[in-house]
Amino acid sequence: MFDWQIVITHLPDLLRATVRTIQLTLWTVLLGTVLGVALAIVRQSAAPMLGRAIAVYSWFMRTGPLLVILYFLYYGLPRVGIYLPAFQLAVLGGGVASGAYYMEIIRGGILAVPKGQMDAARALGMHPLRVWTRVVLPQAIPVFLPPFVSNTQLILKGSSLAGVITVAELTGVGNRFISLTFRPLEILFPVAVIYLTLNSVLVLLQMAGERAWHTRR
Amino acid sequence: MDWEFLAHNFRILIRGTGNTLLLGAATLVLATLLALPLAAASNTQRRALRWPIAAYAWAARGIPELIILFFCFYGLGQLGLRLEPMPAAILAFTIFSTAYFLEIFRGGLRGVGRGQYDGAAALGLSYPRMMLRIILPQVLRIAAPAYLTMAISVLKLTSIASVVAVTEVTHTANKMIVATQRPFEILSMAFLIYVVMNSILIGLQMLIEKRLKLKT
Repeated sequence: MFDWQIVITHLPDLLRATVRTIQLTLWTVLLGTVLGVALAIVRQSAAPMLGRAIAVYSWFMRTGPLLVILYFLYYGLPRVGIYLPAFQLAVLGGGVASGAYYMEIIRGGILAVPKGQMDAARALGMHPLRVWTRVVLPQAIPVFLPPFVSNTQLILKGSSLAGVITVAELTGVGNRFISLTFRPLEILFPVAVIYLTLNSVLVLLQMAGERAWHTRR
Repeated sequence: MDWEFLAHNFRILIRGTGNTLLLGAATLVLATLLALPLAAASNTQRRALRWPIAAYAWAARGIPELIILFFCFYGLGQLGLRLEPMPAAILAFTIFSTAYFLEIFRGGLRGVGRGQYDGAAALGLSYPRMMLRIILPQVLRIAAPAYLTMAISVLKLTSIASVVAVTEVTHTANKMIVATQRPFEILSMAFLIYVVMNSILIGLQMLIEKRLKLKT
């Protein structure tokens, strides 16, 4: 029957792999967000050629699978002499792929703040940085926080693909343990629980964030 | 540009689309058929129905698709049910797609005004008649955009089935990289195949959305 001993012996390694998964997710979110912000800004001030290039990139990222992108980096880069550890390849692939989604999310948040707010703040003589931190962001954040967090949840799930290109994250390590122990259920069950726990942490963070930035109108 | 090479290998890659589309279509049909009654069930007052469905939806959407796939392919084998890669993939994809469609249909259901139910009651319609003739068409209309977006995601996700040896596009591409040692060309073509397939779906989505807008 269900052998708890197997769960116990492999749990430490699974938890170590979980740290890797968290790192992978955080770095991917960071890269994706930075890329998304940059693209959102460029898109707003658009030169039409640039806007079209960004639209094509966005279309490709939303229609093409992440796994193919990861394979592309994993098999392709060494061929042109670029040798990077698999972890960085996964972050690069995930960041580039999610950048398109983050761009849409951030554009949504920025567009939601009425232009009059920025004009009024500047008319009052507010320092430009203050305009952003005191007026625009507090109103933009409640708008883009939910899609931002749900995108982060998607990235957490997407990180499970990194195991396929040999990153030592939770799914990859779990897969290896399945081959070693021939007890998939005893491995998959704790792995699933860990992912659900991480997911719940994200949901809790979202609820806390919504409470913190709730604008009182 | 080695066109001969590209053309020859493209033809091999295209053979993989058969399984990609099979997996996608089977999943969409099954998941939709399952999600509709589940959505209706989770809209009732009975807590005994709502809780298990909500728990299933949370788990099936929170656990990575690859893990669910491993469960169907390896895990069930441990319980005695050994499935071939494609049936296991269809099962796995149906499990999490149903959960997503369930949420989408619930949203659609919530969008149907109370007046519809009252009107149906005033007309003396039986519950099944009301659901089928009045409520369902409206749910589908409201949920159409989100549904089609999800359908596209499902088709994109089929590439993970390659990990359990389903011979779809990504799997084929992987084998061809080993054979031809030309990863850039093979993977670019594979990527484009997905882009084209999903672009067709997006085009379909925009068409359907336009027709739906005209009807209302």
